[in-house]
Amino acid sequence: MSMTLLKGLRALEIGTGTKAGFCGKLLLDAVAEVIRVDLPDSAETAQFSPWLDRGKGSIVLDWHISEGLDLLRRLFEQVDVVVTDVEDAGERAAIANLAAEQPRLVLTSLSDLGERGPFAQRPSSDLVVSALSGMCYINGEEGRLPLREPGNQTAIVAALAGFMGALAALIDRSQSGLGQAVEVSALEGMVNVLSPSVLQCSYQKGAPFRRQAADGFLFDCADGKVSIIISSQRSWETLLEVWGIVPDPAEAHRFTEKTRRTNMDAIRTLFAPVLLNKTRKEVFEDLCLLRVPCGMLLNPAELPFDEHLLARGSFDSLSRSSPGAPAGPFPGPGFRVAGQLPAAERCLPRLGEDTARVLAPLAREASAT
Amino acid sequence: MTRMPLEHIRIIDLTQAWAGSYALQLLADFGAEVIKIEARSRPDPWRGGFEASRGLPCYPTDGPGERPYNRSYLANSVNRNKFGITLDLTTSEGKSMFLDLVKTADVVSENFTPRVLHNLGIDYDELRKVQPSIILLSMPAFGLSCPYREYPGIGGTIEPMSGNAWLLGEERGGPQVSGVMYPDAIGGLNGASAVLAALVSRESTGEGCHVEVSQHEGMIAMLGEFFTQSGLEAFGRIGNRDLEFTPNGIYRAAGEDEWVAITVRDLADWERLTDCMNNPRLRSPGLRSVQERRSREDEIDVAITVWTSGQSASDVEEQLVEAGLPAARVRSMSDVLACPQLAASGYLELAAQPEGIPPAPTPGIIANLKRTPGRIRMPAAGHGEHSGAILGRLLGLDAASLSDLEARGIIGAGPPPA
Repeated sequence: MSMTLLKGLRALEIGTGTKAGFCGKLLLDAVAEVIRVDLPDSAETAQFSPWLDRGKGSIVLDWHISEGLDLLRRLFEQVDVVVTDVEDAGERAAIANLAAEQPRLVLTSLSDLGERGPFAQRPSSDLVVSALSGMCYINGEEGRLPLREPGNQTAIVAALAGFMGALAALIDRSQSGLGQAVEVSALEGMVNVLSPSVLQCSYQKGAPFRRQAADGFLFDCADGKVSIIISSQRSWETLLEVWGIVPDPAEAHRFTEKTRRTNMDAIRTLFAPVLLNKTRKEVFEDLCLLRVPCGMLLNPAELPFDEHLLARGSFDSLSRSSPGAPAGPFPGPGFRVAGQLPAAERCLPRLGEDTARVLAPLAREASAT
Repeated sequence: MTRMPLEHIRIIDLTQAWAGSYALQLLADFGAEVIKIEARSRPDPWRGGFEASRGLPCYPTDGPGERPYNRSYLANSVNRNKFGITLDLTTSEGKSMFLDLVKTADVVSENFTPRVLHNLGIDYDELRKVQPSIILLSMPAFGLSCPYREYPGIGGTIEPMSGNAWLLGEERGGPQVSGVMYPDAIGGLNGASAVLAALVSRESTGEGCHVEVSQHEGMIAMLGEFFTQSGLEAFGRIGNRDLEFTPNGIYRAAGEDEWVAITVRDLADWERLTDCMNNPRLRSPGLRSVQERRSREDEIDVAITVWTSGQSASDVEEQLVEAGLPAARVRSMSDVLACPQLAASGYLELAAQPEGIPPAPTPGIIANLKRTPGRIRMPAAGHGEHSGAILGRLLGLDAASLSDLEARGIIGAGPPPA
């Protein structure tokens, strides 16, 4: 049984950003049909991402002119969901107006900073959203470089929020018969993700503050680093017992439940004789069996070859999706049904390859009316 | 009041800590009736325990109070809009009541390792026997199958296992973990997404299913962009630099620990930046393309830092935004609470808190459905706060039965009887 969650659902993706691209990918991962719409003037610049776009359909349509806009209107009649991250306010309004004509349509509109309000017209980027949301401040060490999460993760958070909003609207439609517009901003999405820190700031007057050390619970071992979470007393006592470590009683005040977090260098010294004689895998497996949370520090390049991820088929088997296409394999979605993932083989579309198939019947219909 | 999209959905929730609780809060925000079940004797670890926690400083500045387990910002940040009950699932009565609740439900959720539900005798097959169309959300750290399936995992271990910690860090520094257990939140987003997709599917097929979210895989999915590079050996820490835009960085400004983020998306942005900097050397023809700028990125970053470090971050932001460039002073969480955009959109709501804690600014609903929006309806439930009300309403238990169950420690609020 393969995953068929959204089989039969049809979606359009309008926009070239990661927000719409990843939201479309999520719909595709849940087995909806997703067609990306590009403007003709993007023919030279549009690049399909083997990560985001494989498996999507592609049409080229100039919806800036009236005939094209009419075809887009007819296309809207035939789909369940439209996802867009266009930035131009005029384009966004045109899409919203068309969507409003279709009472059953769900329009998911994704922006960086919101469609209204004092920041709505500000130029933006993933880094700017990350800086505005508090994420950069929280990452990194006090007095040193604030950091965003690697890659365009604010866009992906917005895409996940848009996916959720679209699905919630579809569930509502099954009750009411009506679609609706859904708005998501990456800034709001990131602030939502940071809900614990937001509430901490209110409860604890200004916290969280920047950290003294950002390598957290990372420890050196024979072939790299491992993360060992020693905040709970049970984990701490288990490690001392299993590794036969007896801290100097004069130093005991540095290793209490309350003080361990601020004495990580002393703990690293304490653990080093044991850890430097073990590999990451040995430490990981030993500690997980003892129910002490532990993780290996892995280079992403190692992930497709990790035994667990290999066994689960977490990466697609595709090394090259088309001649000349770079890289891969690519990670699959974050969810599956009954252990199943969507079909692995997906091709990267050629720009406009579905234009005739999708639009010709609509054009005939238009000329007939 | 408009109706909410999930008002007709009931969820029996066994999740704990951040990832699972957050997933269910997202669904509760859309109107689902979420009934969170905790053990009477062992509260959600994010409550910090029955006694005031020494290792988890999670209480308001005025202290842990009489019921510290209801005053943790951690638990209270991801459990709003839910009912809270206690049940001892290791007793036959507790399990029986749980299954009676499942009969009335659409979804069950959990984030244990796979053996736990099986050992309790309430795995997916058992749930289907009492509710054939049930949707089960399982959120184990490493998924339901294969070698690591029974291994515990939390954000701080998933982050290095996913490659995120490898990539996070200064370009010439060591790996770092994020300042929060960030993969938990990503797991939550995936968990809520999976349930919503399953509900959409059930609307058309009438069939439930067992949806699985591996927090590990969910976090790896965030890094797909890096796998588009040619050659897996290309992974390295790049700080705030970007695979597409150059320069893209955070630069030191005047003042203590003050910084400003700047992105140059294209040549026009580059010209705007160099105009603002009034730096003719950077306007040389040899820096017009991304490739040219990338080859001299260190030099460019030094020049930008020289310019930004002599001014306040706010001044730099104002100049660059005025010029049309993506730029922002790096905000602390206190700054975020004062963000004019979030205020104008009404996204941060002053929401009621439990246990006498004053109302606090709280993030709103993650996606704004214009016709049937979700809303914040009630603060996080105290431990077992609604046990009597829910079991009375849904299972028809009378006051005498509830008192008896409470006296025997099967239900109730707070620490069990000695």
